Amino acid sequence: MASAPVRRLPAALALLLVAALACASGDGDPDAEEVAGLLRLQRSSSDGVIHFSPTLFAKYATSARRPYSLVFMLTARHLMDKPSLKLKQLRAEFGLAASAYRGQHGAGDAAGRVFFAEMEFRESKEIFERLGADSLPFIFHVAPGFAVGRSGPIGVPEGDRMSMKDHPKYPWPAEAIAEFVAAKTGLGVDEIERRSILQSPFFGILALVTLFAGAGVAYRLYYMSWVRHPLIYLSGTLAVCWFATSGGMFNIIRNVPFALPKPDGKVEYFYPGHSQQLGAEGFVMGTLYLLFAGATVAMTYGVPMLESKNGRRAAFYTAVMVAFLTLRQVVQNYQWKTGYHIRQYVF
Amino acid sequence: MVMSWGGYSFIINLLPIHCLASVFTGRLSARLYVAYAPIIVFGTLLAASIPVVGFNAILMSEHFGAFLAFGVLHAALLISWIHKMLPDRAYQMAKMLLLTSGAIALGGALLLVIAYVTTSPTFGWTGRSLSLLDPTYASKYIPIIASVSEHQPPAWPSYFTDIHILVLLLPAGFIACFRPLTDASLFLLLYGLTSVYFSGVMVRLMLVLAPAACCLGGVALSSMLSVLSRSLHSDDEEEAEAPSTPVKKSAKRASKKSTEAPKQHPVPHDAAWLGVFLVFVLLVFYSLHSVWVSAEMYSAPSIVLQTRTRDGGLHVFDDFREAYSWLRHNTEPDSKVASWWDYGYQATAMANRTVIVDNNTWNNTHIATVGRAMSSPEKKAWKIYQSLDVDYVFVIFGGYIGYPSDDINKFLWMVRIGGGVFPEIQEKDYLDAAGSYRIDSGAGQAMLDSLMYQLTYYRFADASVMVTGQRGYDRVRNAVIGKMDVKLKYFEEAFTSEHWMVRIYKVKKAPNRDFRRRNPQRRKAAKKSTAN
Repeated sequence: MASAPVRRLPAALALLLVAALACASGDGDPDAEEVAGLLRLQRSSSDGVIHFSPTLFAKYATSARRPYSLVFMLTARHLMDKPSLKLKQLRAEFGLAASAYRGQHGAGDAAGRVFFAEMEFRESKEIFERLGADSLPFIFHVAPGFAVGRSGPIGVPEGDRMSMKDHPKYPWPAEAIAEFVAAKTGLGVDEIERRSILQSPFFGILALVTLFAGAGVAYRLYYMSWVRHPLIYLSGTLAVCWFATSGGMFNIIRNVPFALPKPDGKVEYFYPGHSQQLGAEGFVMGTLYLLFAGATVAMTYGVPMLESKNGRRAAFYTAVMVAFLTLRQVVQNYQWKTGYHIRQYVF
Repeated sequence: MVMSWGGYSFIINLLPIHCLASVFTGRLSARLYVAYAPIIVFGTLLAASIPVVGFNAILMSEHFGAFLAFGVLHAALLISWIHKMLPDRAYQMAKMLLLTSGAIALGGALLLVIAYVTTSPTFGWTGRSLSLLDPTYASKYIPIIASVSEHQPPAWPSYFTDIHILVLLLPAGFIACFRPLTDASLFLLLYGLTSVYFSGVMVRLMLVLAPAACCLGGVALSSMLSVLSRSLHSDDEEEAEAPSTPVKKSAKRASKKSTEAPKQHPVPHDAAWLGVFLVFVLLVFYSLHSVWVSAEMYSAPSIVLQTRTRDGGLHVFDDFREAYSWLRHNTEPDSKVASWWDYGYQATAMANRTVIVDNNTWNNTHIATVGRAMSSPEKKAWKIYQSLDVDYVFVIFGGYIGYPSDDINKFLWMVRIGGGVFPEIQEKDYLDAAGSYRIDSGAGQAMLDSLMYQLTYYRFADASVMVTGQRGYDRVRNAVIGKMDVKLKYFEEAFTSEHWMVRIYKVKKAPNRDFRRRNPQRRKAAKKSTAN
């Protein structure tokens, strides 16, 4: 029966060895522990971007040397929706670059050499101040040998920050971010994988199924009576007309804001100059056009339906009044905006 | 129309849309077939005989819509034909069979089309038509389209300037088209709808919108006037007994469908008179506006500019014609002139000289070559121009008198178009550190070195003192230029027009002086000094 302890011996030895190794790596090599911690954080994040709180920053970023590079993106929750900054798209692209790095270098020799991280303004205000980050977008690289103290300013060298000059296409695509990281760390990725429905092998089948299902639904709809109601098409037509004459396409193509906040706290809705416009003013004008058209339509089709003669008279005068005021407003807006005044050659 | 304008693809798609809409709203008739089928067959054949279109009339996906409608039209006619022939039950089955086989055939064809179009980078559509469907397409991918001012999207004042009260009457016209919807009003509706959408994408398509808007506005006003004038004719006291008809056809259809059409009562006389009077005032107002717009905006040729002086007089800038006539009278008849492509046709017609690039944007590479030359340093540009056999180069400059649409303001487009073909040209080199475009001392180095900059600002610093009292002050950019003493080695100023708007340079056959050749005198002096 002595065989049982003997058999257990290798197992016990192995256990001891593992424990010793764990101790050694835990006590003897703090760098490895940090890397392991970061790798764990990286794995647990959804797209490979580690969210750094001030504590994490103090733990993993502040020291004289680190065995890894850190690539930070600074964000601000209250600015995420600001259209001109496009932080949301940038964050998504940053995430794509990070997950590409995680996918290709998450395990193996290069594991733990580059980490992608983000910091939020309200949470890490102090760090933002130390970095001197007063404007976004702000993506920078912290090299392994770059000393970051526990307090005092952190002067990130100019070359370690992504700039509009080197990467003019904004929001920076994941490829540009990866290129920047590769230039700084010497560790590149082959290709950034953008998940798209087009690449799926089922796309063809899916498209065909959708097509036939769509055709079936369309066939059913075609024989339903409410589909033929002109009101649907009329409102669609008017919506397109309203959108086009308001310069809606101009808003989309030029990315103009809806309104401009002025320094004195007021909001500017109308912008002078005949070749520019703000989003709101176009739609105001489009609505005025519709109002005028509505008044004329009321005169043409609405008024003759009324039974009482005085009712018809009152309705007609009201419609005339509305049309007149609308037209006057349109002309006034136009003259104010363009500065054009009709020169009358005859009178 | 195919011969004259690429905009024919609007027509070739509008007609099928109308055909399909007619088929699906139950307006299928022999008339529709006679009107539509021949135009597809003959139209395609005729279009294919135009050299630049050729087989594209079949291969480009812009034309696929027409073929689809052609097929659907035949299928619909077939269905209605068998409907007449077969008993009801058999008809239902035959219809299902036809629709299913049609759907399968269509699916197969669609797959083929998809396979075909995905092999071409623009998916078989030309960039111009893609930019209509996806308005941001052109500004992203095709600088040569996005750079042209007539391809810009219009802001709302454009509509009021160009079609005035029609933009207010458009919605009323659309509503009138629905009362009732006939074959003709359906066409007008679709025409108006598509053109109003497209005009929102590109300002030049206001040309397509204008006729549609005139018709729609006319329909709106005419239906209103007919109600008003009928009211004036009717006896004021007597209520109309029978359902009097605002529009004849509506009554016809209404009486067919149901007997309880809403009663139409006349508008009281005083109100009707007021209405007629106001319509008259509106039309007078419209005419005044139209006369004014034609006089002030459409009639002003962009080749002769004018401003009003403070005392009301006119000041005319005739620099373009001056420069073109200089070219015509002072250069060899076979000399070649390079400029940015905007001035190509003008220079060909008015100076009677061969130009390197003109407003035909069919060949993008050629324009990119000139863009590359303009954005390169002098020596490299000279080599490019030598290889193109150019004798004269001219640039348009507005900084002297404050004419904003000059070549410096277009320069970024030259860089972009050039960079689209020759990747060595990088837009960021022409911008300052913050990524903005400027011409003062903070401008990008490539900007200061570019040929365009040098030709534009050659001798400008001293001349600007006369106008602004400040050395090198550019009145368009409102900045002092970054390089005051521009020296040219490979180009020689030949002519500068009165207001400095056109500056013509001669391309030298050899550079000014070959600086590599040693000066024999100097060599002796050097020897002497060493001997001493």
